[in-house]
Amino acid sequence: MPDLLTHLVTAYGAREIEARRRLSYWFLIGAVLPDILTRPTTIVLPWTFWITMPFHTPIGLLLICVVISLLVTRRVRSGVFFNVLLGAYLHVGLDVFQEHIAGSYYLFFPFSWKSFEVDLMWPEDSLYLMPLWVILGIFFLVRRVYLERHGARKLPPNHHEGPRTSEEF
Amino acid sequence: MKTWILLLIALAALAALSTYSAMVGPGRVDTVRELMRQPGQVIGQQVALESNVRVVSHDADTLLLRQGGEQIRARIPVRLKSRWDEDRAEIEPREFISLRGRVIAGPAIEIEEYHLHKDRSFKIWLSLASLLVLVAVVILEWWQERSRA
Repeated sequence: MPDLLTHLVTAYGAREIEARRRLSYWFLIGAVLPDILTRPTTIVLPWTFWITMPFHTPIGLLLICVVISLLVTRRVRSGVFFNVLLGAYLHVGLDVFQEHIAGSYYLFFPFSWKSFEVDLMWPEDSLYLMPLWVILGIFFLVRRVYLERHGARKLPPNHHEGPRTSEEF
Repeated sequence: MKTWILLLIALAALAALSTYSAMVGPGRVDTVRELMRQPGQVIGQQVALESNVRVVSHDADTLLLRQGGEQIRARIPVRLKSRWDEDRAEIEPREFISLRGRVIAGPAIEIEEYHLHKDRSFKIWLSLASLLVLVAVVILEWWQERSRA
């Protein structure tokens, strides 16, 4: 995996570029979710790799997004689902550019055990781009604050939410 | 009610995926723990150690590796000797390493391919710091959203 700073800044940038403002903070949460679900356990208990591995695959992440969206109110459910799912898939998309000794990303699990990677860089190579990510992160943050303060971007209330219904979870 | 049923189905599907992966997957990437549990049966087997493997100590042609509390020796073959001599000069204490090799008597591993993950500890700490930033951003945006509503 690239470091979470890389994932976070990429997701934040994508969110800023997306003109219709449909991506909320749930998108950012989705962008770090695959690593949050898998890395702490594999660092502390390496033998748990295969237990948590499905949580870093498209099918597993789809199910986790279903679970998360079912835990929020019905009014925001579809917005949360698509935001977290898009964020998580962006994460997986970035991860496949990496190289590993034995392969780590089983995109077609559980239908195939073939690990798919582009082998462009080693996981820690993203650290060499850290100054760029920090500058970009600050740029996006300042740009957002500036646009909101100067009225160029007035967000509607609860902009990622769907219509209210009486059936709240 | 429907929500609870869907939730249970999704959780059951996740548990099924996890169980399937745990039962079928370990044949592909091994851990030191697995190797030490069945030392006689794994001689000659191809292994790949990737998750949180650290170099405890090293000399001209061997490394002592540690993964999750278990240790195993690994041997550098002549083919990789010149590269290892270069890498040895820069290796940090408790450096992370990934490797692929064959189990030999001992048990130990004869390395066929390896990669030293320089600065991986820094990467972990950077990721934790980024996570704190994310928490701050989420709390701020959630609070702003509530204020707007």
